[in-house]
Amino acid sequence: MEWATVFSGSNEGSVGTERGSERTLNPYVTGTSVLGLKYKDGVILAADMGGSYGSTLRYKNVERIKSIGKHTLLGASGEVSDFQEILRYLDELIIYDNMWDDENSLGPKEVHNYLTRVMYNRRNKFDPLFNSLVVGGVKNGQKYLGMVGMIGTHYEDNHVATGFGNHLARPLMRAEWHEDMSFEEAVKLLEKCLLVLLYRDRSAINKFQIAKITEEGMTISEPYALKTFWGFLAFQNPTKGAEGSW
Amino acid sequence: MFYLQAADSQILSDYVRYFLNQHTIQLGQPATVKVAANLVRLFSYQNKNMLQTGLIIGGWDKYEGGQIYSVPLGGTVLKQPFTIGVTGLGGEIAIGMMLLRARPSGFRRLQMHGAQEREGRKQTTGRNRKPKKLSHTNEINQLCDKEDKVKEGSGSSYLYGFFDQAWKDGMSKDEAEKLVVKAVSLAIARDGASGGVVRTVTINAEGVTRNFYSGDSLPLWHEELEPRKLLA
Repeated sequence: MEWATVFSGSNEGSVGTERGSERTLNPYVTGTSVLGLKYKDGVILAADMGGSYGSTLRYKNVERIKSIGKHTLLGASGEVSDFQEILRYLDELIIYDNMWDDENSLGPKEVHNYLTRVMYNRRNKFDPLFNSLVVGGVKNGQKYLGMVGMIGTHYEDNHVATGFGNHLARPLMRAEWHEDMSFEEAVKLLEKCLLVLLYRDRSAINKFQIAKITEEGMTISEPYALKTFWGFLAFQNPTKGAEGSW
Repeated sequence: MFYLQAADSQILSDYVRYFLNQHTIQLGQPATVKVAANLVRLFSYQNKNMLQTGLIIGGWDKYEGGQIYSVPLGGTVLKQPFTIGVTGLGGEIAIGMMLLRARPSGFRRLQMHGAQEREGRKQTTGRNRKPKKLSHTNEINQLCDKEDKVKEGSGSSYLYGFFDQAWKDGMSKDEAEKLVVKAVSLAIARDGASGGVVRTVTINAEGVTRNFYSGDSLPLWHEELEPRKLLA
């Protein structure tokens, strides 16, 4: 039993006689939206800590935002195992970069580009990594925020979101984002978006992490929960005008 | 959602035990739980288009004490303080729980308590399942995402709510064992693919201990009746 046969990549040589895969697979354990926006000192990312298994909210302590090197934060939605694999690729990338020992380091632009290539090439082989990624960071005073999808779609913007966030959060961001927001303003806006997602996205859980990265460095917050409001009059007696409904 | 295949769990476990054995020989000492879990992850992730198996890996090593990792479908690795799982056709439920007990010296000793085998194969609560022979490493290594509790398998859906309420940090070995048996018996009550007996495995610094609970010794739940002797 060769190590290579058993543990090689799925398309190269799987165990057994099958050719491998012409696969576009289904995701199993998934994370929901990731939000990102630029503010005065840098970039902020936010995501909840849920890992859903279909409709079951199965894992509630999944860190979906990680730091890459010194200058970048990466947030991912979609299949968690693929995200973990991406982190391994990036680990290798960063280690090789550090080994040059030339006082130069990969910044968010480079990481974004690398990930774009990875995602697009996998897509071309019909073997995608089932993720939507948010890449954010600051290097040499330049703030950077970008997104890469599972088919290789990529772009940068002042505010980005994945999944449901695109539909629910970005309209709020478009209305309220402005250049040089303070940290508090940015967090307020993000929390507003996170709350909407919590109300409306079935895969969202009430446990968030907000990560910020500036020229000085990065911090990922401890997990915390938001207060929700359900005191609407209409909720008290929902069938008042419509007997038989719920 | 895909159904978990027992055969996939078996073959994966066979492969992982094979490589773990080799690794242990080469390393010259028992492998770590992380390594075992990573082996499971590698196999699950690389062959995700062919495998339908979720495993729990629990064990003890001298570096990090007791650990439990969950590797569900797809090959995600999550470390947890307890976990539940069920294999498919065999109808087994595995529950791994980790106990944290602070020692007077301040040294934290972690005990892993669960109905699992070392490579994270599901424990048998179903019918017609023979206990698997394990390799000789004293410590168990399996890698999954680290979580306090891990659940897998068909009956596990019935147990999420139960564990949300009943699991507490810092349980003793006996408390944990009782909890695990209770949980499995609850799942047996509702999961058609589970039944028969409950077997538990406790893995800690002292080694591996197995216990057996026959079906008629388990508590009865809603609308279940006390059995009575046959007339004959």
